[in-house]
Amino acid sequence: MANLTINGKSISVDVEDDTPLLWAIRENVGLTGTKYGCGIALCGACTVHVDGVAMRSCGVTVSEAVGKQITTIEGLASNGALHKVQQAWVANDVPQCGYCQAGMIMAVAALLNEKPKPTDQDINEAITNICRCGTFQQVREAIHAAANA
Amino acid sequence: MNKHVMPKLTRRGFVIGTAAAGAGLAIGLDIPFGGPTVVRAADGSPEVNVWVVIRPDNTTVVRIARSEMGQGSLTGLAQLVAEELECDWSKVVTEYPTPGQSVARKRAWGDFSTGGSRGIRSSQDYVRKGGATARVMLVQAAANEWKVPASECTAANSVITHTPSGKTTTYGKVVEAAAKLEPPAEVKLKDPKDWKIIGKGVKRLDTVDKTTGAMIYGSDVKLPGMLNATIKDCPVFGGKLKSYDEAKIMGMKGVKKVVRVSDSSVAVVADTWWHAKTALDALPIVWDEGENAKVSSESIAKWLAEGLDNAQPAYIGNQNGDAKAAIAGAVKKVEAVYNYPYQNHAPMEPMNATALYTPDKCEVWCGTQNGEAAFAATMEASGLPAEKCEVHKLILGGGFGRRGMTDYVRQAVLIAKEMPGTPVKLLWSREEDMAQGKFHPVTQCKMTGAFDADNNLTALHVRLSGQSILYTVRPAALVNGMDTAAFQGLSPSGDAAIGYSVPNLLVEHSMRNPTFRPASGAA
Ligand code: FES
Ligand code: FES
Repeated sequence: MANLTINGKSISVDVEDDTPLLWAIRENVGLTGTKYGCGIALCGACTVHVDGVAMRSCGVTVSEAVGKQITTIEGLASNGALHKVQQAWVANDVPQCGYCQAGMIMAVAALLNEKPKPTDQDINEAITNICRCGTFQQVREAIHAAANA
Repeated sequence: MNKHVMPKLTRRGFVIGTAAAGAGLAIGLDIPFGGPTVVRAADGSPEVNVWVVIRPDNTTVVRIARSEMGQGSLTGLAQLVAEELECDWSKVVTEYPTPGQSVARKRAWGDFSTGGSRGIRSSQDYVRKGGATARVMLVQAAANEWKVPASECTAANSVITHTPSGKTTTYGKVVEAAAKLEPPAEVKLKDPKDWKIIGKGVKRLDTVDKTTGAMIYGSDVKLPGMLNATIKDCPVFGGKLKSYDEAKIMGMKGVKKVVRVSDSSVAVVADTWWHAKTALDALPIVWDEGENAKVSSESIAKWLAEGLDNAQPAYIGNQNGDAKAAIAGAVKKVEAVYNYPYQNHAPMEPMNATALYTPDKCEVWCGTQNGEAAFAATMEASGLPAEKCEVHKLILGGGFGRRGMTDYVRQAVLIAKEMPGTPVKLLWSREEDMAQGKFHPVTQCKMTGAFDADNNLTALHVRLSGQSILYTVRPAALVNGMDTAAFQGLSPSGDAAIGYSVPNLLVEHSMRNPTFRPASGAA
């Protein structure tokens, strides 16, 4: 049993300590916006914020997440308004199949917190999520749009 | 707000018709109509025809038979219907009809398959007719109510206007009456120059849900009492499952059952997927890898290289002049061999399907590029007839051809069959997805060009050697055991015509179909 704080709510989950946070979020908490793509911290589909830092939740254990503020894609909007990254995604029609996009958006939201006006170079270095559909160009444009919003 | 309506995740699933379809309905494949018997959507709103449901509040529900996997065909197909329907685009929502209902209604929605960029191309004509037919019926219903000729009425934005009197009504108000009318035998489609929605850069209908985590993919399905499974098939194609030691994992947390799914695969069913995956990884499995265990990249390359030898049989896909003679007598010759490797489709969302089996009914929830093939796989694996099967389609986390195959659907049903009454979601690990790819064909190509003294190209011989997609997906289409369809971009004419004119040209394909790996469509 572990107590997690997800999207501002305290939730206790009955899992082994070494369960990846991804699966606790998806299966025990029931928030399915965070996706499984590889399970080995390579693709970024499972990206969430842990104390404001973008982390690949398949590579974080539940015990490591205890006591931290976890934000998932479902918790990114606030007071009913989409986050500026989500708004830029909608305005630029970024997603294709969309499966990678929750992780992509979470990674970008964390980047913009740290670097409000990232250069292309910053983006190349920070956003290493994989999109099998190939939306990388749209992602880049939408990051700049969000930064300038 | 525009929205794609997800199949309801209940045991009975998503039922469109109450006044059961089939008997008494004149449904043709090309322009399927509701006819005088009103067929109702799950919420009670009437179908004007199979493509169009209109709610009292003027929301237009457009039925989409093809699958959405990122290319926007869901939105594009809705645009086609909405254009002819003259409905309010801001109030368009979409939903997937199910293959089971389509079968029950004599294939009312036609082909469900989605691949090769055909989703819109091959259905645009009849979905536009569906929209146009519905418009004519709605206008007729308004005209009947006003007792005026329909020719005096116009429709735009879901509003019908009687031009001489200025009277107006809405689609939502006349839909009940419209649904009872006989559909017109002929409808005239709009001139493309008058299009307001088709071909315009409208926003995709499903973007918002894809940015908030609300979109439900196959792997997100949750059903009451559902268990989770993951599977390992023999890592060498054609190999067999020799044995496994289930006693080693039965005590592991959450594990419910170990299932021998086929003679080459074993699955673990557990309370959560993480428990299933952990247990399957710990399960001692002995494989009989068979003959193909000897296959290597080197042996494949060597075998394809043999097909580049002109003495081997090949199918000629395009020729003019006499390329071989021109090359033999050329002043200058250039030759190069190119290799194209196997490619896994690797959609971002690993293969998955959820199945609920009882002796009376088998239901499947999955992302698929071919709803009817998934339905057929459900029938075959469950052993139940069509009327006892159903497939509920969900949005795909990528397809690329891989989800045109139905191996994962069959597996999910076979597992669920071992646990009647319990829904089971089968989700492959990424490792399984990489191991069980139906790769895009491996190919080699020898290009030989001949030049005259001024370096003009006088002849080109393109000799392809490789695997055939057709051989796996439509073996009946082979001609004398050879693939006639491997020439996209090199054909003499049509969409896939070669872009150069060469005085002497020979393009041929030597089919080299390995027994070690089936192929599937474009990556
Ligand atoms: S699922 Fe976590 S990085 Fe791929
Ligand atoms: S949008 Fe499909 S994987 Fe990124």
